[in-house]
Amino acid sequence: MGLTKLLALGCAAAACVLASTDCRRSAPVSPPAGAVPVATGSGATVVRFGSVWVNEPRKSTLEKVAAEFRAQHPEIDLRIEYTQPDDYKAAIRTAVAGGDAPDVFFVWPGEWLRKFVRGRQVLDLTDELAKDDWGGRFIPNAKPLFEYRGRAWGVPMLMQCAYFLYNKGMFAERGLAPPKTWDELLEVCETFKREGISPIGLSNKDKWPLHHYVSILWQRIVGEDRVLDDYDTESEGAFSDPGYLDALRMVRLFADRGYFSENANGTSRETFRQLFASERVPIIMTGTWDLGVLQKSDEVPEGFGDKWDMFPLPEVPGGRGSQAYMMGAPDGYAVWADTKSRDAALTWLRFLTSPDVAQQLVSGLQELVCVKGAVNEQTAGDKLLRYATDLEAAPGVTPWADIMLESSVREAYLDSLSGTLDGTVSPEDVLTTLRNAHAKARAETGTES
Amino acid sequence: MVPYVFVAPALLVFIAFALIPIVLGLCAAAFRIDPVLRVCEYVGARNFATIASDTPFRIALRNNLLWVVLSIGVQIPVALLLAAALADQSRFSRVMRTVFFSPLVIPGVAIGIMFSIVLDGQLGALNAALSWIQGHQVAVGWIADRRWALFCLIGVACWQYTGFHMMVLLAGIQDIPVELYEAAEIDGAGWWQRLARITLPLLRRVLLADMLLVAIGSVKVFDIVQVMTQGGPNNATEVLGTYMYSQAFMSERMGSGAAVAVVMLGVTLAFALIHSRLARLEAGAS
Amino acid sequence: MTRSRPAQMLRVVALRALLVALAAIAAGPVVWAAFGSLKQGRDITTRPFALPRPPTLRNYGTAVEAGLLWQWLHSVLLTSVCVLLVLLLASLASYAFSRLSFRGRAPLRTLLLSGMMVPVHAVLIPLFVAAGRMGLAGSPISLVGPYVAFSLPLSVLLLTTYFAEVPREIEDAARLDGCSDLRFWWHVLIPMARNGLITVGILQGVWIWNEYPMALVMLTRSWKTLPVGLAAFKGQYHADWGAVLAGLVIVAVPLLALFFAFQRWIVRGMTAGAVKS
Repeated sequence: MGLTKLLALGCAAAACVLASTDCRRSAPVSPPAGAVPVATGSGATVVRFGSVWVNEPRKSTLEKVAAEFRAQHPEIDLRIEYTQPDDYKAAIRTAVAGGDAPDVFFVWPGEWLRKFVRGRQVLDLTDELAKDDWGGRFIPNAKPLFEYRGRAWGVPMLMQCAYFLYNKGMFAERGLAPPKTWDELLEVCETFKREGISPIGLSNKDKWPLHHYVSILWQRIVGEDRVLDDYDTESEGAFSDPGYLDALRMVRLFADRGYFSENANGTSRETFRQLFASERVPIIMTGTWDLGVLQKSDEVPEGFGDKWDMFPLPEVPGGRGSQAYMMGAPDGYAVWADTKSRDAALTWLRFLTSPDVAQQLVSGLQELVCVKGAVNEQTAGDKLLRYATDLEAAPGVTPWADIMLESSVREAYLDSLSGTLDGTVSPEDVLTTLRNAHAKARAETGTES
Repeated sequence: MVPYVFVAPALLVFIAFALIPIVLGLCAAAFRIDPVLRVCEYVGARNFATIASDTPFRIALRNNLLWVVLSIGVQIPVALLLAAALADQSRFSRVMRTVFFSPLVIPGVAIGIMFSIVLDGQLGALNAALSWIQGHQVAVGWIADRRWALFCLIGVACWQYTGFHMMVLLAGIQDIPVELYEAAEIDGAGWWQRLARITLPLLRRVLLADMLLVAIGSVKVFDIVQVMTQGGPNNATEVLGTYMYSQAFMSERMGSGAAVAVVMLGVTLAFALIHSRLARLEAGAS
Repeated sequence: MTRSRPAQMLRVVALRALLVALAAIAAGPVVWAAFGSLKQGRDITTRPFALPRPPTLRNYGTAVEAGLLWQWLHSVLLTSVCVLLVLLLASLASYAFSRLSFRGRAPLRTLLLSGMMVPVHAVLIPLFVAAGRMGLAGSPISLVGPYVAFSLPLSVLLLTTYFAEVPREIEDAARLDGCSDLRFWWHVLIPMARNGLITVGILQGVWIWNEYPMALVMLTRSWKTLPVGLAAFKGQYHADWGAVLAGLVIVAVPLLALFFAFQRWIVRGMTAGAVKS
């Protein structure tokens, strides 16, 4: 092949690269949503929507809602970009930092969102929410974490709460009742352990599951307000309460006695659900995000949903916190401050959180949508309904630490905490690591405007 | 005038997209950079102090050095053996050489994914094979077990790169005059003796260069670690590359990430200096 | 001490057996992955060493649906553009370095070659921030500059060696005919050093195709190269080993096929040029 021909080929390739970055109208095979944005007629306002709903049934439910929206709003070109939740944290920061964020994007509230606020990267939605009482649609317990410095910066979508799930049959066989306190839980675990069964299934490969145990114990022992204050890098709190160490020691006790499933640090979430679905472990702690999968899906046998039930997070008698608090946090969406399609973006967000769509989402996802009335007898199964009722009745919800801690603090804390499972890191060291990282982060916050 | 015109395009691209970023990257180590917070402030040596006192950093450094030592210890002898055994032009040798070189063509990411499936603690093929051989269930954690994880990863890297080093050494062997081997064979020297007395001494310069290549590669390693373990479990397989990525993009401390990059560069330069010193000694001796 | 012929043959056979065993280790995983990708779901874990019964292409369907073929195209385009630019720039510069004398030749050459030492990580952050400021965040264009720049040191090194080997007489003859530098470069040097160009093109092409850290950081949107796309695919489908293996095969097998087809060039190029320097 002559070199001239090669050069010509090269120019053609270059032209293709330039063309392919923006327009794919001549695609012979229809590209999947997410790999390539859907191109519609020109002149439409583009709204890019950053979503983490990659798995089923979330993805197809969202796609249905999006299709309805597009039908109702042909002047808006809605493009959904899907990213895995664990990749999303880095990806969205990269996108925002690079000046290329989606117009509406998924956020975790708490410190996670606050950082975006401090960097002036998200829109102040307070006035928008006041219009037409948009804000009034949402469940009260879900809104506080999206507020900061007196203004609202995002809207809640799904409420994620954690409970313990237990295998009814395995408990009944041994005459066990769901434990009400952590000490009772220890006894229940011991009963199973004596028979050689790992009582609690745990997958800590992603590092955050284990810290849920610690988070609820912290709230129960130290108290919900104190805990929130300590998480915050802008306040004086520094994890000085002795209750923090007690909680860490308690979790270490579970690990030492072998109450968690083996090799939890290397266990994936699928394996974790399998352990429960194949009835090899009687107890797991998980949340609303797994409700649908564990009741009816490819991963569990037929009718498995009837084999398990839930018990709320146990109490610590004598703890300073409210023993009736639930643990969880909503996740939701914010609007990018530099968006060029502000009105269209808000239109989409209002649509997504409208009562009808909310009910559709509940039916499709079997998860707790934060819109009032969305979870009801028509839309929700009985387990989800129970979450919703409990949520309404609960005095409050304590969030898990990883969305309230600053990034470097969170990374350091979760890293060292995972060492508790195999005994390589002592509870004292975990707390020291947390305190040091937190102090460093506090020092830096002080230098910001 | 003319020569400069020829050199200019390459040089300009290099300066703009490599040299300036390298300098900026090294300087970034002295700043606290957070794009989301729109912060870029000078902090002097604080980033270095931060990472120096961070346990995962020390683990990463130790892991990289271990990686260098083990990689050299495994890859060079095996590569030498292969190169010596396959130095001729027979069909068998040519096919074998191609097979051994082929892992290099596959992206590191793909290799990492492939081996993370093979080495899966619960359901992997390796455990299945061992179970079959042993007759009972074998469930070693491999990359999920903090005692073995790093060695597994180093093994994967050796699998990937030994063929490359075989080629490098082969080129050196092909420079050795055939007459030397023929003379030795007439004198009755066996295969092993030919290797030890002729090949090795004459290959010293190439061996040294190749060791440097292995060392530099071991410091830069990122793909397979990131894909297989992300530095886990619990930092057991943390290396400078993954530590840098996690500092810059997970903990959002870009300045610290840049500081790690400076350390990587420093270690690379140190190895280059050692190599240059040893090469000079070697040149002086022969 | 001469060994008896049977003993010698035994040693040869033993050596060959060892080599074949090692080759099996080298080729084994890929072959296993290829077979695994044709298996149905659970069979990979329950019967890892059996042949797929019946073989199914469903996993490939999953992989294609997730966009891996698009990413293949992306990688092809990006790599081609970068390799062409590298060959162009490097051959121009190598001509000057190898056959022209001018002031500053040695220091400029050293400057260029020093780039080989630096790990790509050192530039991730500044390139990422710069791309954002220039509005190129997430675009593949942000990768062209760095890929070409980081390919130049080794390419210039190799091509200089190749160009230097062209005999002086040919150049003298061309000059006598009134050939300018540029025409000499294009009409004589490039064709004569074709092997070198192919070798460099392949070496850099493979590096760019397989490059992961820079692509991971810079490509934040849906336009992904194959390594980044494959990692994301694994992240999403990691429970579905069949699909993951199919993705792997899509990535690795074409490259391997190309490699086996062109291995003569690669091997020759590597042994001839790479180590001489």
